[in-house]
Parts: sequence; structure tokens; C-alpha cells
Amino acid sequence: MGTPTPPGGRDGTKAVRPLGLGVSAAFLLGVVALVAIGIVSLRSIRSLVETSEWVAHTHEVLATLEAADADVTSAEASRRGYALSGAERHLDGYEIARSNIAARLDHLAVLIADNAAQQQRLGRLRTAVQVRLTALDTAIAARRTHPDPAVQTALTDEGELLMKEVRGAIDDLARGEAVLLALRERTARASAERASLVVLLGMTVAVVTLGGSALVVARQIRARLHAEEEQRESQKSVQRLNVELAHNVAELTAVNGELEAFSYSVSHDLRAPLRHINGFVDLLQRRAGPVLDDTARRHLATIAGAARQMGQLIDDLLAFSRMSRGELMRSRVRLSALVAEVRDGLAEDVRGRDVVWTVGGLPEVVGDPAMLRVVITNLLSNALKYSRTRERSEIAVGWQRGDDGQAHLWVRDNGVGFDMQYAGKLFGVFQRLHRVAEFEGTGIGLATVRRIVHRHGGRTWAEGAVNAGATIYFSLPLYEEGAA
Amino acid sequence: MNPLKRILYAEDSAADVELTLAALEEHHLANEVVVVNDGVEALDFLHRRGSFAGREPGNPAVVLLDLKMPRVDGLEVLRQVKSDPELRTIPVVIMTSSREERDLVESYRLGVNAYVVKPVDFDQFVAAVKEVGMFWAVVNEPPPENTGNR
Repeated sequence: MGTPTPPGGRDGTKAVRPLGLGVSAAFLLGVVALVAIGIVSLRSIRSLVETSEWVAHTHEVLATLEAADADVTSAEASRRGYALSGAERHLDGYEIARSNIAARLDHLAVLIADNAAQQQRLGRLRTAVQVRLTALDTAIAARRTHPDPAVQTALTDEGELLMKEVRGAIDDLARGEAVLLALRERTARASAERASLVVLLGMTVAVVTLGGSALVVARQIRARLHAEEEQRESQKSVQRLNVELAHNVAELTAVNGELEAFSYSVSHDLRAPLRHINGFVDLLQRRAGPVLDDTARRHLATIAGAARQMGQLIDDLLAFSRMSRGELMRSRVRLSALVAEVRDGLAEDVRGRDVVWTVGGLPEVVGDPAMLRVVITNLLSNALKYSRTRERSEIAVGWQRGDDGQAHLWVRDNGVGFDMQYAGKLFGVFQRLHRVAEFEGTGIGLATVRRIVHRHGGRTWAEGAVNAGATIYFSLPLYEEGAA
Repeated sequence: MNPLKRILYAEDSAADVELTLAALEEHHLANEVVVVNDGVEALDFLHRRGSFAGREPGNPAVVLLDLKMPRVDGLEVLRQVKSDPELRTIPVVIMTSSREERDLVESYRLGVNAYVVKPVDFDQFVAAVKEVGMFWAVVNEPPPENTGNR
């Protein structure tokens, strides 16, 4: 009752929109997010790779420091060996350790060239090592000249102090390197965390936007597919209807053909025997007329009259059938002119009678001129026929515009009229309200009028009373300027 | 051999034949009529074959044709006559009970010379038949013989 139609309901009126601006923007946003993820990830990866390089670097520095420590220790051991034994071979080891130490320190200088604080610490190490080595050199030289164990012991004690200084410098460097490494690791971790955050955020944005767009696109594709399906369905039903229509047309054509065959056979086969009856009655009258009595001759006349009447019935029926089947040739018809022409054509019926015509201004209508002429002729000749018992026949034709927009026309006479009780029979085929002896005719005139008026989309009706005249009404579509 | 008669009348209804002959009798034309009962016989007569193989040569002055006949109907006879160079100059009159428009149209399309709807009323019928018989068999000048090939 009051339920509104749901939007986009089964009526199929929901239009399939093109991809909207919003979907395009969402697509763009998703792509931007993906690109951002890529860039941040790349940077983070580079940072991590750098950090791992730095870890290796630190380890190398630490290893070199350890090696230098070992070399210094080895040099010390060689000097001590020489001091105890005086064997020159200990001096060879000493020399090797010395040159190794120099190489290690140079290598360290290269490794930490980027950091000023470490360089400073390296300087301290260099000095400590130099002092230590110089002390060792002095001790070796003293052994050569004074192989006194006491001197050597004193040198050894002093050497331990110097050695402590060297170790301290090495530890300093190692600590510095460890601090640097920790710093770099922190930076790398922060960068990685930032990257994770960006990737997570970017992924979310990308998933939301691209997923949303995908949903929207999918829905639109579904809607489009649905619309296409509906279109196919409606095309199918149109085709089905067409087939049915063609079938109905074929049936109608067949029925029409049968009707035509029927009327053809009525026209031909029924008229021939009537002609024979008439002809042979006539021949009989000629040949046997003189020997027949009055009653026999009257019988022959009755037979001939009946055959003629039947011939008239057949002709009227065929004419009625033609009016029903013939194609309507619609055009503009001036009823005033048509009524005047038909009146002229009825001059023979009016001869010797007192007839008063009252014809008002009549409208222009749309219809088949030939068929409307039959309507007017039938109605006017009926009016003349049924009013001929009056001293003065009064026949009026008029019209008014009906509620349905059509012209409502009427033909009125002051004739014998009819009983309204039988008004329904008035327009039936072969229905008569008077005896043939009173008024000749086959009872097809008003049936033809009704058939023609109906084919024009109009109606017929009648009013009357016994001995008080009759009014026949009929409606026709008005001619509108520019419409027909 | 019988002398050539002026009217060939093709009609399958014995009653119609009798009425028509009665009408023609009033103008003493009945003896000028050869009656055949269908289209086959009519064509046999015109082509001098079958039971008419021995008839005197020459064409009738007019052919009266009923439309509805068994075997070969009037329209077919008309079509064959009007498409035959030897026969097409013979005047052909259709005499029928029907006023059907399509018969009328087809007959004139095939080249009929006259089309008569037989009236139901006998007086009118007699008048129509007499006029047709008189005009085509007496008043009208038939085409010269053997000019079909012009």
C-alpha cells in the first residue's frame, strides 16, 4: 500500500554509472602508498646493510688491536729471552714483532680515518708503543754492554708500567669502537622500526584504498552484468512476444481467409439457386399461366417474391461483411457536406412527400468517407421510411461535443418510433421491430451503422417511443487541426 | 460436319443453361449456341480436339464463361485463351453469380472483354443475357479469321 519502491529495485531502472572520481582517487592513493613503502624499505635496507658493514669494520679494528697487543707482548718476550740467554736468535723475533707492530698501527690508521676521536686515541697508542719499543731497544743495547741481571730486572719492572700504558690505549680504542658500533646499531634499528611503521601504515592504506576500489569496481561490474542479463532477458521475452504475435497474426489471417471463402461461397453458391427459382417460376408463369387459377398464380408470385427477398438479404449481408472487413481509409470528413450530398441522393424517396429537414452546422470528423456515407445514407433513409405515414415528416440532424471529447451526432424523426424495451435489438443483424408488410427492409441497416461506428472508435445508442419518433445517436472522433 | 455456331457457352449448371437458352430464344439466338459443361470441354472445342476434333474450323464470335466449373474453371480458360496467339482475339464474356471484387480484378487483368453478374431477378436476367448475346454475336464485328499472329 504505502510501501515505497526500494531504490534500485526489480524495475531495473538503476543506471550503471561509470567509474567515479572517488574510485580513481582511491586507486591513486593506493599506488602512492605502495611507492612510499618501496622507497622507505629501500632506504631502511641500505641503512641495515651499512650497519652490518660497520659491525664488520669494528670487528676488524678490534682484531687488529688484539694483534698489535700480541705483537707488543711478543716483542717483550723476545727481549726477555735475549736478556736471559744472550742468544741472537731472540733478536730476530724481536725485529719481526717490531715491524708487525708498525704495520698494524698503519692499518688501524686507515680503518679509523673517519673518526677524529679514535684518531686521537690512536695517537696515544702510537706514543705508548713507541715509548715501549724505545725502552725495549734500550734494554737490548744495555744487555749487550752490561749483562747484569739486576739492570734487566729493573728494566722489566719499568717495562710493565709502559706495557700497562699500551694496554690502556688499546682498551680505549676498543671501547671507542664499541660505542660507535652501539650508536650505529641504534640508528639502524630506529630506521628499521621507522620502515616497519611506514610499511605497516602504507600497507594498511593500500589495502583499504585498493580493496575499497576493488569492491566498488566489483559491485559495478556485478551491476553491469546484472543489467546485461536483464537486457538479455527482456530481449528474450520480446522475441517470445514477437513469436506469439506472429502466431496470432497467422491465425487471424487464416480466420480472415476462411471468412472470405465463406462470403465468396455465400455470394456465389446461394445466389445461383435463387436465380434458378426465380427463372423457373417465371418460365412456369409464361407457359402455364393461362391454365392456372388465381390461387396457383398467387402461389407462384409468393415464391418469386420470397426468392427476391432472400437475394436482397444475401446482398445486404455481403455488404455488411464488406463493411466489417474492408480497411479503414481515415481522412478529414466534412459531415455537413456529406449529409447534403446524401439528401440529394434521396430525392427520389422524398418525391410527393412533405418533408421538413432541420440540419444544424455539423462538425468535421476523422473517418473513412465511403463508410461514413453508408452510415448517413442508412440513417436518413430510415428516418424517411419510418416517418412516411406522417402528413409531414420532420427530420433533424444535429450534434454536440460529448464528455469523451468525441462528436455526438443524432438523427431524429417524427415517425412511428419504437418501444424502448426493444432498444437493445435495434442495432442487431436482421433484427426488425416492424413487420415487412409495414416497412420493407432486411434489418441490416442499423447493424451496419453500428459496425462502422464501432470501427471508428465510436458508440451508437437510440431513444424513442411508440408513435413518438426515434432519435439515433452515434459518436465519431472529431477532426482536430494539425492532429490528423 | 455441323456448321460453325457463333456462341460457345461453358456452364456446368443445367438450370443455368436452360434459363440462358430460354432468354436467348427470345431473340432466336438459341440455335447459335454450343453448350459445354466445363473448362476442359471448352478448351477442347476451341482447339478442335477430343470430342470436337471433327468440328468445322474457325473461331466462335464470342465465348460465354461461367467462373465456377469443375476440372478447369472459367479464369483458367480465360487465361489460356488470352495467352494463345490463335485464340486471343476471340471476345470472352464472364457470366457469373458472384460480385466478388477479386474475380473481377483477376478477369480484367487476364484480358476479359466483358464481365456480367447474372441478376437474381429473372426479368433482369433475361434482359442481361439478351443484351450480351445480341451485342457480341450480332452487333459486334468479330475479328477477321487467322489474324491471331499479327
